[in-house]
Amino acid sequence: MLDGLFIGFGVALDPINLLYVFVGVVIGTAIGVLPGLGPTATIALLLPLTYALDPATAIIMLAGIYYGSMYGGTITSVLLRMPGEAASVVTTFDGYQMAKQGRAGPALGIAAIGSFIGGIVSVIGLAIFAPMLADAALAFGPVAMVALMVLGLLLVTSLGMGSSWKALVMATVGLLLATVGQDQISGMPRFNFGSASLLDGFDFVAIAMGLFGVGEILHNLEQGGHLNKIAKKVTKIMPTRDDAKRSAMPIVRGSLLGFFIGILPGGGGVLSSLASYALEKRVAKHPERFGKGAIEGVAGPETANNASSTSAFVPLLVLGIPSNVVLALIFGALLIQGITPGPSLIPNHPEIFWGVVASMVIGNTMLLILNMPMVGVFVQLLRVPMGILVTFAIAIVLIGTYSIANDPFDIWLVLGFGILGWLMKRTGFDPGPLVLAFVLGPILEASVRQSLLISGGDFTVFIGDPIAITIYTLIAVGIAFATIRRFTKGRPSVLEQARNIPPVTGLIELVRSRRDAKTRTTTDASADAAAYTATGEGEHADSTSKQ
Amino acid sequence: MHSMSKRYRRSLITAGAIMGVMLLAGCSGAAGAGNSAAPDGEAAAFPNGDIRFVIPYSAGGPTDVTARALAPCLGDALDTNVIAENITGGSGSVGLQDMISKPADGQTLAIVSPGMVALSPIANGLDYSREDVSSVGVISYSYSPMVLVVGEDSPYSSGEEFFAAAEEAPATLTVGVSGASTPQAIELQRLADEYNVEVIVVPFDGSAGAITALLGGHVDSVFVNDQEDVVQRIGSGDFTALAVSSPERQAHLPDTPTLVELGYDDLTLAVTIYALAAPAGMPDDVVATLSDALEECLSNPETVSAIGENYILPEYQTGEEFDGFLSEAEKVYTRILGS
Repeated sequence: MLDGLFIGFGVALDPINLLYVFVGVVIGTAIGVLPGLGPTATIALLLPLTYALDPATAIIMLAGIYYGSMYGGTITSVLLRMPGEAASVVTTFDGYQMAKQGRAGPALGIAAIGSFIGGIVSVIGLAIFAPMLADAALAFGPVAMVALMVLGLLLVTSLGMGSSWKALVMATVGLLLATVGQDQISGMPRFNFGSASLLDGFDFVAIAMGLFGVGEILHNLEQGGHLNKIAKKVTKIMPTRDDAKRSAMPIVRGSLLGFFIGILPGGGGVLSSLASYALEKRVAKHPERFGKGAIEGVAGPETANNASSTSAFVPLLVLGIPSNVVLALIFGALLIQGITPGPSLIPNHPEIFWGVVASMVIGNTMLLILNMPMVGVFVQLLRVPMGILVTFAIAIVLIGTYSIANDPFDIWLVLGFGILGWLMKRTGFDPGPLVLAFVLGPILEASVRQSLLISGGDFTVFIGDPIAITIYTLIAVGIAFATIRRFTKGRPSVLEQARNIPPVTGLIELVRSRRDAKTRTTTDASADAAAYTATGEGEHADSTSKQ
Repeated sequence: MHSMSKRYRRSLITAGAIMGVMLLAGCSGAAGAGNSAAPDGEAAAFPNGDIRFVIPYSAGGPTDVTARALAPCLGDALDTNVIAENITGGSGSVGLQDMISKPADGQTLAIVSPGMVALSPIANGLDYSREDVSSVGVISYSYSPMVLVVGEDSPYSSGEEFFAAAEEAPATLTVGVSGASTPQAIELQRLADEYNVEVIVVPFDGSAGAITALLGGHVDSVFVNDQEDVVQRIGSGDFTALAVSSPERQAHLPDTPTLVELGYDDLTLAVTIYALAAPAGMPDDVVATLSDALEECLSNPETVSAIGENYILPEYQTGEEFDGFLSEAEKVYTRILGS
């Protein structure tokens, strides 16, 4: 392995490869920021140009674009609540709340640091475990995938932004929206009303940008320039010592979680950030801070999604199996170069495997160095007057959405979902569960139906797979544990929480916890100096007072 | 040392080109919108300004590569700009409908395949048909055949054994394919309808998913394009090839029989043909001009090598010949899918 890494750094430190990893991460960050132009479109666009490059150089650059875009997506999620890709949806929960509290700097900073650590841990894992883990990934057939998606959906509904029945409703709507378009198994069109534009179903970007981005903008306009008020509060750019302390364990857990989930075929970014968020909330001393600007809710998921985008290279390079669309394109790039990724790649082309691995170390370092000073610049965006910022944001959203398929229909779609997002905001429904269920739904459906086709319609197939049984057992234990804890420790823990936080806030928290979410009309949350003040609640108070 | 510096220069030029493309990508939308030359009056000479060339699949795929290889040469031959634009979605039907909706003056063209023109409207109940399209001529054939393969531990080592087992116990053997309405899936449907050999078709999202499932032992076999990675796995013994879908045996799989040899004479429809097309009702002289330009391009060495020499027929095929294939395909698809 040391020999391998030696070869790898020899390749990666070649000036040309250094240039290309730089080009890759810069392009990646840029497209991550722009909605619509995701890594898939960019890599497809650049593919023909890579033919002239050495295979290792080409893959080094394409990989750089991929993990660079994972970081870029964070910036808009935190600043504007616009997740450019599915993996960033989770980041909006706490990242945007932090931005509203004037803590966009620490949010972006910790995301950069977490992404870096996640990336590096994953690279080390890739170097040590790649050959062993690849075989394990193969055991994940459709049946195990069903179990994994069930787990994913349970996590979605337990994210708990507001009441859990609302989250459940939203997740259901997300699953229903995912059924629009061509049936994956029979090829029949569903709910497209004769429209070719709907044959492929709704586009993720149109839904996410509409519900989160446009919906938030409409809400802000209604509130009369909310963003401006926050901008003045932006003070600290770097995470504080306290932030770092809070984020340390989430980053460690996120790295490991992300690494393992990334290896699974079809798993990838969304599931890893989702699982990390749910885990952090579960182990937190004060889970009620989540969704209100808890830095752990940014650090964990951001680390996990970068770790998973790195470890996703394990099945590609070792087995020749691309686990998502982006990696399928990179697979294509290798094939065109006359190199077939698979078990023979490491022995036959060590320079590619180890070169790519080593370049990831360098690329992640570059991302950190590039992004830390840029955090200050990005945060300044919030100082742009509301009217100008919003106009640009809407224009970029519309152009970005249109550019995916050059189909004007998608523009109406994003505006329609924008209005829906605004209505949801007014009525206290969170778009997070909807969007995440929308992403997981098609995988669940395909896996269920593949499983049933393979078993000849026998439903016992779902509990006949050792991996699936393991996952279901974990779910059962988790639910049992949570239920028991709720019954035995429920009340004392609330008191305990109250004891650990400043008296005034503590009292409010205590009162709040005994009330229904709807009747929460808190006193003035803005007077609270505590870092984890419930801005979400304050906002809620705003809107209720207006009604 | 000399070759080293050459490599550096080449790489640097490419790096510049990549940055350039990223910049251009930002402007491409504007370019696409700007070329709607007003085509009024039948006396107007063809071509009248830039020609818009719709590619109904996304950048980087085989359809895109073929179209972009052709576009510059067509532009030269017609003495105008041919501007390629990817309009994607609905297995090609979104882009095709965009083209159909434009005036039939030759200013809007599209690259089409039988799948888009004949299969999609029937399979998906869309309100257009091949009557809405006028074919100019065939661009290329993709003769990449399908190959039926099983894994290392499979009890079947030949096509005969596999199909005998399928006949004996209908609907028990599973065959992974890359998607629901792909030519492979249709061919397997025909195997059941026309030859009474029933297997369970399990569609995955792309051939990689199907191959992963075979490697993990989740399906009994897969029926996929004989792309490089599959051929290599056959060579290494991970996979055993049972049959190929082409009319003749393949040079790189000399021991693998065709489906025809195994007794399924009609299962040779799984080929991709790319043609140049325009909205229906185009004036004959415009069709002729375009057809001549296409024929000229298909003998242009640069275009030929970009599309792939093996895929271009030695004899140019006109739009009428393509229409013949479309009506054949339409008959088969209508029979299978009903309408």
